[in-house]
Amino acid sequence: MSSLIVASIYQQVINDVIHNIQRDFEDSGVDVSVLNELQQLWETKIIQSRVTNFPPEDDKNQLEQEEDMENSSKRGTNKQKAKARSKSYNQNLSVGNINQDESEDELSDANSVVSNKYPENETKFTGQSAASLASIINTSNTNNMSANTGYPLSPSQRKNNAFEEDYDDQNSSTDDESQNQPLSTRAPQFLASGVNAPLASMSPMMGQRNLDQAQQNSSKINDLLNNNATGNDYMYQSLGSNSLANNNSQDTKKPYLPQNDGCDDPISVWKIFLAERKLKQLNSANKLDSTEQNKDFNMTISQVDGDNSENGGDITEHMVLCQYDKVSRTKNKWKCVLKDGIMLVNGRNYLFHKANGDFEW
Amino acid sequence: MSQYYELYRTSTLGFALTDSLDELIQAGHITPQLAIRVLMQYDKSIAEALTNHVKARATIKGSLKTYRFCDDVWTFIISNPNFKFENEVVSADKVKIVACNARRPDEA
Repeated sequence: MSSLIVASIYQQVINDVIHNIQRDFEDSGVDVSVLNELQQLWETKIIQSRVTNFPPEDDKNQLEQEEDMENSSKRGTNKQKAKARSKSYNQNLSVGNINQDESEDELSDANSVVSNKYPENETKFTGQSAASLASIINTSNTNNMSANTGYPLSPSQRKNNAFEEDYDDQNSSTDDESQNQPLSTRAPQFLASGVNAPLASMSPMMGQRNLDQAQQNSSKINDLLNNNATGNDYMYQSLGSNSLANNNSQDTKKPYLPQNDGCDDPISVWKIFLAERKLKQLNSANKLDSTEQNKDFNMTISQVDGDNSENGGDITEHMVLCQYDKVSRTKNKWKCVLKDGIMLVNGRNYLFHKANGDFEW
Repeated sequence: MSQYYELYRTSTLGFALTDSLDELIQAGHITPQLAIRVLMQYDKSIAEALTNHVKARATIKGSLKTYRFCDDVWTFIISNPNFKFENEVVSADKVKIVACNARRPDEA
């Protein structure tokens, strides 16, 4: 039964987070539309992850329809639009690209000022996937590129694309629009999903980004990695300026000033957090390729130095995240009383309130 | 808010949220501070949801390949695990279980 309620629990959590964080958004002067966008992005990613046990699309559609009823009509239409689009590209697009479409709509609606700026940024967007292309194009737009292309994650790129689409015309099909756009536009986006994997492998280097920023133009790879950092720096500037959403977007136009001092500012914390996460994912992906025996061997080795294994040395694709009430051992029999768990097994999510584990060592 | 584990950020739901937040940061719509606030709220929401709204029980069996207890966190690697729910059985070749203390040390 647990698998059947996963989607509804997730929906509850999403709604709860969005509801409770609203105050923080207001306090920091961020437009509510951004919050809606966050919710849409989040939900779409869950849908695309297909971790719930039933046909996630159907279930989620129901949930979303309910939400749409509750929410403003604008939001609902955006979702539908996004879905229609996503279907049209679905075969070519990676999961993430769909999200952008949704988010774009809302953003453009909410912040028309912001959207005006995106067309320029668009050139940057091609970023990762079309890194080489972008680097050729961007001679004058280096800063913009860097801001948007960012992370091995293609998200920022997608978003840029989306913004542009919305800006150009929200209602017409995005494909037509995009073709009129500069080189950086569509084709690269589609590639992005496929290209992400190799780029992701660079995530370990993320920590060096600040240092590398000065060398942005030195290589394509550096461009990609550095882009993320610059984007964050823009954010940082905007922080100082009593940021409203519009202000933030305007700040992205400011010339890029690398910040090389200190590592405790929230931006660094965030970057580190993401970098660690990417590293974990990367390690787990690599691990899947290795043989079982090698994994076991690595595990025993890594056990000796503790933290190394924690950083992905023995990660498998199947994970249980939970809390323990009691762990006991009698000879080689282990008994665990676990609670509040999220399981990712065979690509599906399961939840449990309580679980008993009986293991033989 | 700090009394909630960040453990669940590495779940599918948490990753989805983190990715979304990162996109918004990259686009310049929110600040990293705000993103961290969202994650802290997520820690709270997911923990409460699991405690209050999930009723499912499960049984896990398998052979324990690796166990580790460090910083109050148990980590188990179970090979050939078998997960039994009320009406469903799932198996895999290997699973990693990461378990934090249900009673946080600072509470005790």
